[in-house]
Amino acid sequence: MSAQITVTLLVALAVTGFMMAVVPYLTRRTESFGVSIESRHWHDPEIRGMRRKYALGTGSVAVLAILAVLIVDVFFDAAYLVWVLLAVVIAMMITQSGLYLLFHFRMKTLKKSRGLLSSEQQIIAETAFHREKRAVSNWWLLPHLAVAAATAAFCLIFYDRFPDQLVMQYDAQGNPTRVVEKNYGAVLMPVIMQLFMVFTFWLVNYGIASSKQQLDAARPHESLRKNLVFRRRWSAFLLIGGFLLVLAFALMPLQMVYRLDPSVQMAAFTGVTLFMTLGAMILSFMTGQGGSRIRMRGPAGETAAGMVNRDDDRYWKLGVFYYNPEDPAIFIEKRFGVGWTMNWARPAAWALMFGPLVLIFLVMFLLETIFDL
Amino acid sequence: MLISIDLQSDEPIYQQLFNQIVEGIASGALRPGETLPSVRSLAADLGINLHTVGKAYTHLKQEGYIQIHRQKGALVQPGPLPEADETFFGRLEKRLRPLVAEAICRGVDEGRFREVCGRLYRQFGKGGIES
Repeated sequence: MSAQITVTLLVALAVTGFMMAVVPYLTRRTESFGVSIESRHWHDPEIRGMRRKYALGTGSVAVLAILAVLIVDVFFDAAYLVWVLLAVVIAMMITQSGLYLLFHFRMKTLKKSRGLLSSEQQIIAETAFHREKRAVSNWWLLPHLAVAAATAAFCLIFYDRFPDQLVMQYDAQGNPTRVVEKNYGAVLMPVIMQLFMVFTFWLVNYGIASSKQQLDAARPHESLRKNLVFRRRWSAFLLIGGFLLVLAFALMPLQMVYRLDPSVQMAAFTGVTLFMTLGAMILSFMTGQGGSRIRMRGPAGETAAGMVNRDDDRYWKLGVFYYNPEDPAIFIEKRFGVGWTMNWARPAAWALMFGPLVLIFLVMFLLETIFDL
Repeated sequence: MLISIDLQSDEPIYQQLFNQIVEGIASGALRPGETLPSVRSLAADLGINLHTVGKAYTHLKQEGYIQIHRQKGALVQPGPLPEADETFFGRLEKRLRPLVAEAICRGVDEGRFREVCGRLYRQFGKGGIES
């Protein structure tokens, strides 16, 4: 396996391991291991200890995983690397889930015995929230579409100059593994991928804008401002990363027509992947879940109201899966992690989860039957 | 305007919603013609049943505090607010009656009762509408 790929793998592994380990530090302060608490208990020594142990446990397994990959890469046949990678990723996931569940149930017991959520509970919402700018405008997907259109135009205009045999897939060494006879479906494949991605970005951006307003009842105005910044930053990041990804796909036909080295394509995708993962990591630290890490003061003189949000632990299965048939919301912030999840009691959530997959298979199937790919 | 719902209260949620929006209009926190969130988005933000919000909105519309358009959605009554007609005074008396009775039982005289009313009036006045 080429050195470039090994380095990329190691960086990806390190970033993933690191991000897994620090999750408890990035959540809102009203949540600890998927259990809602009052933010004043966030610095409780016992709860801090849980965060530390979780980070140490998950982090050590990630370090071991990186060492294992390094050792295999240096001393053993590269052919083993795929299996070692699979094994270490599974090991990391098992450790993470195991530790999460352990501390989740400990938190539940602790909450009960110590009354970690005992102030008066309220649910609050700002009536002007829907008028605020909650995400970057979807018009910013036009540049993405323009690139896709340019790619399509290029493919059609230079159709004759594409090689008669098209390489559809390379292995890790950069050798072609799947080759097909030239046809319009195969030539336009990158454009189909670009359009599919634009659709996905539009959907995610819509989700960011329309996800449930989640204010902290203790400091509603401050949390509202932070939350708006949080949404806008992630929305902008998504659209920028998405644009780079669409550009990377535009390289595919260029490479075929001008017979560029496959490593150019590989480097582009590696670059975009690194930008997305490192960017997500940095942004997670800057914003925290829901904007909880953004340093920003509320309007002058907003004092803690002595209220807390409603305890809706019963709707959060294992603290991770939100299932509330009463709640019409589809998109909601994750409790353990940075980003959004869905209300699994809504059929629309399942449709959004599996709809794109079905769409992919449908497009693939149609292309195969029509163009005999 | 911030809406806050107390789930432990005996008062039904749709009633709390109704009261808060009327209070918002009275204090000026909600301006005439201001758009309100759709039933679906307010219910989602509060995490409560659609019908609860729908009921509050229908009630508000019937009383003339808000308008509901097919295109623009819900908005605070842009035109004149409903007049205090005989039915209103009838309802006002009916609702005040048990409170006055309770006050009498507890030895609160008329002056003291009026004082409380006056203070409430002045509280809303702060929001912009002159009393």
